[in-house]
Amino acid sequence: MRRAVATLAVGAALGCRPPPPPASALVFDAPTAPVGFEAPLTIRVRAARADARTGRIAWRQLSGPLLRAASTTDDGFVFSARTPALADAVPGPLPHGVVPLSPRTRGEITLEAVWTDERGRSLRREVSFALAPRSRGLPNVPLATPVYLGGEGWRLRARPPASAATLDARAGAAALVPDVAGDYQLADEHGGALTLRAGRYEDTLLDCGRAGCHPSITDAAAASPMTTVLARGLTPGPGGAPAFGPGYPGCAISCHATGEPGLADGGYADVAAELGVSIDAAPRWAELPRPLRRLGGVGCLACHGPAALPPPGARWSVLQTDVCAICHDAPPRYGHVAAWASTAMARADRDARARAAPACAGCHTTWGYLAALGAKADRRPPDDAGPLGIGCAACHAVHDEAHTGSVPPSGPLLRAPMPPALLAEVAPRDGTAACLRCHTPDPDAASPAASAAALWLGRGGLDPASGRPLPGPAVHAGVAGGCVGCHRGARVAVERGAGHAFAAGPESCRSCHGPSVPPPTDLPAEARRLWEAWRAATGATPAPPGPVHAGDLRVDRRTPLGRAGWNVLLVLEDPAASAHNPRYARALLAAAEPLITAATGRRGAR
Amino acid sequence: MPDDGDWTCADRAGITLCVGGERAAGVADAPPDPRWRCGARRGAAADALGRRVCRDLSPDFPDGKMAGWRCRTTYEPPPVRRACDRAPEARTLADPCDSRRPCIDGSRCEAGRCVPATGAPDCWLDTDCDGQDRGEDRCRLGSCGGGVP
Repeated sequence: MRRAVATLAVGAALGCRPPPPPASALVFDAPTAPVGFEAPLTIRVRAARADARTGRIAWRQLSGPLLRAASTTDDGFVFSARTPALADAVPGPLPHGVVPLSPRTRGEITLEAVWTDERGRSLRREVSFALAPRSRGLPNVPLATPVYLGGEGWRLRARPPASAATLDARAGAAALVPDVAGDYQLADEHGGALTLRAGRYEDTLLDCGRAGCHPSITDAAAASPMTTVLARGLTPGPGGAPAFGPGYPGCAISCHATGEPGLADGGYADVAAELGVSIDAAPRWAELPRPLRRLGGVGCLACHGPAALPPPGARWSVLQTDVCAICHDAPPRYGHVAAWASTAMARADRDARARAAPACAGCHTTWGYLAALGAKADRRPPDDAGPLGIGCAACHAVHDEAHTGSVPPSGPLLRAPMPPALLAEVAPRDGTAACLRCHTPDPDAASPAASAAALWLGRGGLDPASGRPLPGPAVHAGVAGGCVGCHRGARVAVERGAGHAFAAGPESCRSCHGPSVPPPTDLPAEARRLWEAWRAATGATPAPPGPVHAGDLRVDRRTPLGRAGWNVLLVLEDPAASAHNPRYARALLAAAEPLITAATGRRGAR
Repeated sequence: MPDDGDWTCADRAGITLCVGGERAAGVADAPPDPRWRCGARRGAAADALGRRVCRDLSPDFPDGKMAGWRCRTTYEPPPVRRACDRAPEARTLADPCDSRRPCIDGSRCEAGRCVPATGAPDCWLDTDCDGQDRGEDRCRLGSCGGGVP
């Protein structure tokens, strides 16, 4: 394990007491690489000046999963503890296979050390470290980096010839540290196979753009703000300091370059140390050694991992939110994933039927959505992968391919598919495009599903008498930002990414409506009343639990009564119809009501 | 390497030649290394080696001198590295020349020194020079005919 020297920050001087020793008087031998789960931890403090040794150091854990058996010796100059188990850091059951670990779940711990002496002088220092390296959950993994495995009975069946790696179960889960590049064949208690492909980042070819491979993706990635983040950050700004501020990249290197600092994984920090290039005082981009430029920025390997492409059967895994989470799940500062986890989208495929049925997968899974757009080959995960939600890659196209029929991605790399035909003439051309496809009913479907965008834009209804389209007003169509103009509210307290909760409450309305937010309407109740009446009038079978579109109901749009039911369902399928477009929703119900009332009367008369 | 892309390189007579030029995927732009002269490779369509050829007439040597070294670019085990071995007998462009001591193929003797072609290189294999006039139908030091009249 590499260890770095940390020095004390000077605490507040109190009253007329003599000044505390300088910060450099105490040297902390704190871990800079992940220390492991269920592992002994020792932090030694060395007094670089005699008067510093006269004091005592008190320790306190400020954050992270609780350390066990914490104790001090030598007046607190030696802190010892045992790190918690993997299960204490990762909430919920571990997924089967490679366990993804984000900054939130890898057990990041901060300790406070306060030095005091008999003269009342004090110094305070925070010591932070992690229990595990981050993991994308992918089967291609960096060397010298522990991989934790969820599931039981894992055994190592084969490893590269020169490898001495073994499985270690002491952490509460099987762990493997690949030590030689190559394939590691594992099997679980049921004989399920898993192949880990290990390699160093630096040794991985960057020839993804070869003809016949991914030239269009490579072209798209070249201009991506993720690709160029380190280059831009190192560009001198006013005064000559890096554009992203003095000291850049510093700790940002863990997310602005490839690899895990502190590990011999061939990543940026590892190679920089080998070449003697300081991370805290990096030269300009053009002056970096070539190996570091190839590892700088959020390039291919930062998301896809090192070594080689995963086996075809494992390529679905790159669509997991866990891939993005290695940087975007670091609350309280970076809370994109934490906010997303609070949404219905994160649970969109919790029902196995939503994952299995092709008609459902197109809007209930990331892979299904991308396949429907033509943006990805079939990346359907195996059944035992469980629910994954509609993840980052559904809305964000980090390297949009030209052949998707999409327009170039916008600033936050939002996917911009063509709008559904129903909304082609009215859909705003902004970040909303990614939402529309799955929040607009298919006019040819058996019944309307997920109608929020259609109602918002005043489309989707049918004139019951003639069957012609029944358009309506779209008073909220002009909201800047489209859907996320209102759906940007937070459910979790984080500095960045809170809007990924996509919450829209009364506060969303106040920027236009002021304090007099329109009161709740009776639209939902009215729609449910009409729906029950329609069902009674048509003799429809009882609906199964859940949304109507999940059942097998077919609405016959060839008849006026069927079209009336279609209109009612449009309103019912949008739980926020009252907010999206109450005038249009009322118009749909008003158009439907006479026919339903009349049909109900006829059925009652019989 | 000439730039951040993927290259296949070899040393010959004390200079370094590279073929390839596939852009490194997911890497931000940086200016090419000015020490290298690069050109389009004749016959690039014939294989997958790459479309560009580059030549560094003054690569690094352990002691800064071209003479007495034999260098190579190693690919296995990764990462790609340049390695040099002592080789007093190795012929290089730094060798003196005259009528009794001819220059290495692909260079010409001028004022007692071997001088290679200085323009942009255009070949990697002899077959890249197919169809050239006699005398220029062989690739020497990155140029068809060696660029030597």
